[in-house]
Amino acid sequence: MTAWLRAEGLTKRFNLVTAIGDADLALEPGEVRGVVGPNGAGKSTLMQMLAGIHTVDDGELLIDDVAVRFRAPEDALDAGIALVPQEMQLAPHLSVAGNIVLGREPRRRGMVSESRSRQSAERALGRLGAGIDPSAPIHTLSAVERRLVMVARALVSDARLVILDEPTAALAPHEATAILSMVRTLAETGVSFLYVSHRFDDIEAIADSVTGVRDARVIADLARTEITRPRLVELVTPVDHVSHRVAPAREAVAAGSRDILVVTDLVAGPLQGVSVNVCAGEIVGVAGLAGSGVDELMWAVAGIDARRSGTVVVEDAPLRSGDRLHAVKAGIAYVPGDRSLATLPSHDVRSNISVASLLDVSVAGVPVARREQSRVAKLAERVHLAAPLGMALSSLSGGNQQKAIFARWMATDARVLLLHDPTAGVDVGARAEIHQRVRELAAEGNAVLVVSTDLPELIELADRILVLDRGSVADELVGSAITEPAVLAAMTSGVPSISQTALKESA
Amino acid sequence: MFPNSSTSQMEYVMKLGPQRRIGAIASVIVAAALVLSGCSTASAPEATSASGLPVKTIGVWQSQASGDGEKQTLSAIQAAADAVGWKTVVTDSNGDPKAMASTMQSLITQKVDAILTVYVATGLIAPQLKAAKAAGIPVISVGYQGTPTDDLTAEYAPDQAEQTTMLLKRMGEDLPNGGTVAPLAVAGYYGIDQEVDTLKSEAGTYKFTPLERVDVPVTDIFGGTTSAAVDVLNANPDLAALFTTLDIGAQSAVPALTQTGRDVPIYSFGAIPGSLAFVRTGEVTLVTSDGAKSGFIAVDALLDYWVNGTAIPKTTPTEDAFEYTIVDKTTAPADGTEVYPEADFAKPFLDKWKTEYKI
Amino acid sequence: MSVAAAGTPAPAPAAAPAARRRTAGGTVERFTLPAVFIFTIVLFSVLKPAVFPTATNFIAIVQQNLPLLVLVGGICVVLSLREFDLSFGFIAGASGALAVQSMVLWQMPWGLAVLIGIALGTLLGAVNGILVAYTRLPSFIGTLATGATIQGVMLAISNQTIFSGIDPDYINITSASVGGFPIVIIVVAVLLVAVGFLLRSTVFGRHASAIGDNPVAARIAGVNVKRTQLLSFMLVGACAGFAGILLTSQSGQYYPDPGSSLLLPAFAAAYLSLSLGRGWRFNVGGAVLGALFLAVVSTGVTMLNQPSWLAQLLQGLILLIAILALNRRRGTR
Repeated sequence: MTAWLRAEGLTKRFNLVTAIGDADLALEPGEVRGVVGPNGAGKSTLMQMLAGIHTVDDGELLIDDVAVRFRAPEDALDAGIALVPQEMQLAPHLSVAGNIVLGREPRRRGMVSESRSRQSAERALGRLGAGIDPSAPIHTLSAVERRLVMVARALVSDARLVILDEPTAALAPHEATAILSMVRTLAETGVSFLYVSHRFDDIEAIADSVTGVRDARVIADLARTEITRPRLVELVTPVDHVSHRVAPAREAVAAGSRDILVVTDLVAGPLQGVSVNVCAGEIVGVAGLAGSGVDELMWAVAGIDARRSGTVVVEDAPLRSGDRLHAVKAGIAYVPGDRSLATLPSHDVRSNISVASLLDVSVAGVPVARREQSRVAKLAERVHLAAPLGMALSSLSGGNQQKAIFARWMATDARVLLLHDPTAGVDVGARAEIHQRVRELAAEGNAVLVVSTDLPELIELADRILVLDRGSVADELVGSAITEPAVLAAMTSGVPSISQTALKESA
Repeated sequence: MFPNSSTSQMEYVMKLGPQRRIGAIASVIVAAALVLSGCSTASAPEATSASGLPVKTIGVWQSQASGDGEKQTLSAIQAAADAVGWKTVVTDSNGDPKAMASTMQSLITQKVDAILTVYVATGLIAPQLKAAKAAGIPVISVGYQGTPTDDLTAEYAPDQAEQTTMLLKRMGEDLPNGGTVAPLAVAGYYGIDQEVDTLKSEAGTYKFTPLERVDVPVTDIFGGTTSAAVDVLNANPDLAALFTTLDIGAQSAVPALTQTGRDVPIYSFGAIPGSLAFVRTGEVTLVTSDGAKSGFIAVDALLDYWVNGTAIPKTTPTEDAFEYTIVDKTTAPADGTEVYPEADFAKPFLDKWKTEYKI
Repeated sequence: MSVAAAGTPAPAPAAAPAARRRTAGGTVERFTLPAVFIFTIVLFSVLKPAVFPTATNFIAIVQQNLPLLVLVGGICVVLSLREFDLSFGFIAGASGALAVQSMVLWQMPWGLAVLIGIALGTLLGAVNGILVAYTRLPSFIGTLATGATIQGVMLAISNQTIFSGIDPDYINITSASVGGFPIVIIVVAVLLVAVGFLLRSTVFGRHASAIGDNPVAARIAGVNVKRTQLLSFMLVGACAGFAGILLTSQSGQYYPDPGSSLLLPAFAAAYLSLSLGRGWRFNVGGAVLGALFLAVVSTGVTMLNQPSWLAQLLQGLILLIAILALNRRRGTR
């Protein structure tokens, strides 16, 4: 078989920055191609060019050897290319069929035809092999079923290529199986897939070939036989020199220094009596699947949500439940990956950094501009934030926004740093820098608690990793025991695991 | 409400969270307020007629009840209805056009026997007026002229044009050299339009030059009139007189004189207590009428209609014609008394009803 | 607020702040509204040279709008929190009623009556603040409800004009002047400068602005959101109380529901401030300018002996221009 779709030298620039340059790609009918690379490497931009969301600055896209040029996503859809984004929104109160045909409703005399909508939805679902009732409202569906509906949406437009962006990111490993078998089934009918994922298990199970993207370039094109775990790990490991791990003052931790944060028998949301302590200079990671309680642990310790029982003690001072102000005064900093929880978007960088420590630079409740400025400038320098301080925060890149939030907490007397996906949506360079700051802050004697869905990040940062499973601590890994398979195994220990080989055989 | 039930209510309230507690407290207050108002309604004496007159219920529709002129009219209506043993259902639309339609509709739905509209804006309740006509409920406009419409059964209201003519004559006497006159008005009221139109057409007789009328917002008649008066005074250093068209116009124009330090006479309409205060101090001269009498005229007409079957006269009967008079510093009544006391204009009606209907 | 300066040709004072603002961008949008403002004043001055560009007229415009200006100062604080207060007009009315009644019914001295009026305003503002901050009632509908309740109680207590028994000194609050310049204007100017400073330059104001930008982030950053909300509503209440005193003092009498008509002009002025001040934020200076501008239009139209609908039309168009400028500015982000 020969490739029906070929991309040659595709390039996209934003202003002067090349998001992806000179990218080549070829797809055969029924081919499932994994797309692998670190965050911010240019994978998404490449996919979005193929789907007509971004126009192509340079290079050529050939479909059946004919050059095409997409001006809008509709053009790509007409050419048979559909993108299922990671954060795709469905209309929760519409039916499954309604969502599948949304925007492409079959009409009869100008009116939407219910029966024909239902028929085409049933056909699409049938091709997926998914037994979903087309008349069920979306909000009654599970996360997997919703993901399948999104793919069915793509099939209604007779897609020859379906691009899946992190389709299993929000799913437990056993749930992901349903997605994988769907991809298999469809590929056999001749539909090609581009499968963007951080999950090596998925890639190994499903991909016929792999494209590696890093630093805005395509750096690898692996055939089926070349797909091995070490090769994949190599593809996502940043080569940036700043990212190499700088050993923090481990002695301080080893000397059994005193505990700064002590959480005892915490009960909140799904948490059922979780205890964690973090001592000065220590970085403790917490891993767990969605629903395991990792998020709730962060929110309860930060005082953002109330706890039902248990204690949170910072330097011998117990914290009141659900009292964020008290927690801040006690020195608990919270850096979320979801920046809508942290940024003041239309305020300038200066105000964003100083908002938590305004009283310190004030005389009689009035901030002294000179003191504020010098303090903010010093902190901005420390976190290597290059943007002008008078610029609105929303006009900064994700990485710079995150640096500003770090600077905000460094301005306070925080002793405990809670990091919640601290590098989500941050480019590779900034990610390494942020990791460096975290290590420095720990080395200064602060206690750091990290929750991350990005396992490599946890493994890179943490001295110790607690694994939560359905509200309880399932495992604790220290030092050399911290490896990705070990953490993954602990995360999914309570979940009936499905042998990947069994899946392949069935396919 | 039994003491027991209220204790259990309180216990219930205490068990709830803070948000629900406030909601619950609010609902208890609302319930208490409703019970209270229910009690006061129920405690009103049952209208029974000792004299054998038909027992009737009169709906009173008011566009805006808080004005003093409106209050005088309502008081007269209630006095007249009490005298013949009729019940009244009083509504107030607070100047809100939507409420005007809905209160009118509610009176029709309640099947009152007749409706008296006080200071009517006929355009705003045109559909309801048609509905009342269809339902055979007589609707009589009292107190103030509304835009003429066939859907009103009758209108008994003093003539604003006639009063303006009187006022202009007086202005001519006070200001023999004429001069610039500034009319301050509110848009959309038929009576006010009558006043301004008469001013324009007759001003020449007395060498007056009227300025363009300033319409103040309906929602801010008082403050708007004061501001407009200040502006007009500042714009016209030689202004001869301010001409305010509403009954509260006089009292809201006076602060403008204080603020600008000017001494321009104000000519106005309606002897309500607020404006009389400034008539006594000499800032204001006004023309007024016994418009509140219209309540008695309406009840008289309805009595005649229901007892004797006489058709309701469409306009004020000549024997009941309204009186008009100019009130100035020298003729103003003492504080606490009125130019046309209710007792005076009520007496002929009460006497007549005593003899004719044996009330 | 310099009334004398407003009479002299204005380009110089307008250019100075513009230079400071240059970094914030959106030059055309930024100058649209001030340009319309200056053009309007020049136009009226040319058409009515004898009476419009006079100190008397400008003092009169400011004086007429003092209650509005006081309210505008307060409402800017609440709006910068991105909350609404729809009850302040009624709070002003209730405060004015109580102040007058305490003199008429209880023979209190005027100074005490003023304090009682402002205290009632602050108290009612605190009620709003508690409802919004501590029971998380949406402020728009919450203050609509409290406003209606306050209006009901106010009408029940004094449903008529009260004109006798008011201490002449109380009326003097707004009519006393030195050399033809009303003292109350200075008092209000000082108050507005203070509120403007509070909003722009203090920790309280900075926190309020942070809450307005992102309430969740502000809470997580350790800003006392509830206390800031409560204090802001109390501040609006106090301003409304003072406005109620000014309203009744100015008219020399209490008339039913005097403050309700101030609601929409106050919001209009506050939204004009978005296009008039620095950084496209609610600011007291811009709002005061906006309120006076709208007042100048209606005065000018009256002075030109033009029909009143023209003033309404022009005011509507001005608001529209301001909002369009704001939208274009947002679009360029």
